[in-house]
Amino acid sequence: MLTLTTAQQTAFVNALLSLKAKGKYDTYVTTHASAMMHITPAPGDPPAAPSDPTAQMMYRNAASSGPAFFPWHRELVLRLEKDLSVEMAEPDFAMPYWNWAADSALAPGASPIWLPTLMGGDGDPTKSNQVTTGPFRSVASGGTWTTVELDPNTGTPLPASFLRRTLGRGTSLLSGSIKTLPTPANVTATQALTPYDTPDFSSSTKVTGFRNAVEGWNPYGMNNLVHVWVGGSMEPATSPNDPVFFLHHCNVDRLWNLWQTAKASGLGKGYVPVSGGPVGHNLTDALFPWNTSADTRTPADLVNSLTLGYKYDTD
Amino acid sequence: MPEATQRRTLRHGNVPFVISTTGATSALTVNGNPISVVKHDNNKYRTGYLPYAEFNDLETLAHAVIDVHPSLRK
Repeated sequence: MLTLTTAQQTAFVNALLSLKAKGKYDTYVTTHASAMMHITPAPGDPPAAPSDPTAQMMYRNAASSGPAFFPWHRELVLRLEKDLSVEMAEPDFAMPYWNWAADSALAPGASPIWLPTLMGGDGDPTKSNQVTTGPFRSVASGGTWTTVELDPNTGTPLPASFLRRTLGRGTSLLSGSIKTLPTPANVTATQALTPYDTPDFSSSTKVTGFRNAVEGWNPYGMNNLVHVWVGGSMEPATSPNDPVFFLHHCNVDRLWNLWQTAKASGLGKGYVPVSGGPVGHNLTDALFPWNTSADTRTPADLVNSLTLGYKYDTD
Repeated sequence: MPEATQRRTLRHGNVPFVISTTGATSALTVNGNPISVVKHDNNKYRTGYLPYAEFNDLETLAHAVIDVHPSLRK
């Protein structure tokens, strides 16, 4: 993100604001939330408690807590990238990434990514942690950005609100044992793990491998830690409300490419399960909600970035 | 003989929440709203209200849920 020119950064931010004004950006928020609430159970999973609608969701769902975590988020990022490309009239636009590990030693808010010309700053703790600076500041602060709010149990829409952040100071973060963004050492440690995933392909801390480590369940950290470190709107299933979500997941996508090259004998290699895993997570299973005859995407469609037309500067 | 249920009524930022425990099963209600909670195999608590976090105890989880979901304060 920080290697873009000022003009490129401005064009990127303006395109996000334009998609938001057209109502298109909000579809990314609802798509993510609905996939997080779409359970993908498998035989042998712990039984969900009666009247506990989110118990299985927290074990594994269509977008996360399972092998599809990487391809599912790659698809979401690519769809936004395409929309932004059209908005910017820039066919060669590529989604920028935020290398958060490089910022892990900085004080919260000190990274240039939080400048008013980019993502804007921390929330104001005296104003319910609403973001009051930058392009995504609240309406009360002279901005235009609002957030999609959904009942976490039912998905029922709630009144729109404002973007919130608690950079490095949220309750979820401070109650844990790690208080900073994931470090370069954390990245190195996860890059050494094999295989890609292991049974029962869930968020269980018994599941070893690359995916469950980068997602942040075993050990706790990485992707999960970035969400709770940014805090506020990045913490519920509606986390794409904060545009930094996409810069973060582009970085997660970059880490997948690095791992494929280092540990899986090349881009596009290493994905498991090929079959026999939870429905929606096998290599050729359709990913929810892209599972209709008119719009079908599978992990197999998404494992190789080269066939999708891109690579990273670190590949 | 049924196990007794223990209830603790607490507050965070003036928002009431109740932790109920029956045997090994716990439940959380924030301002009258039931909050689904799962105890995972590492003995940490998770909730769909905060799907990227895990907590050592339900009281801290309740504080975080209230902080992140202002709609529960009404």
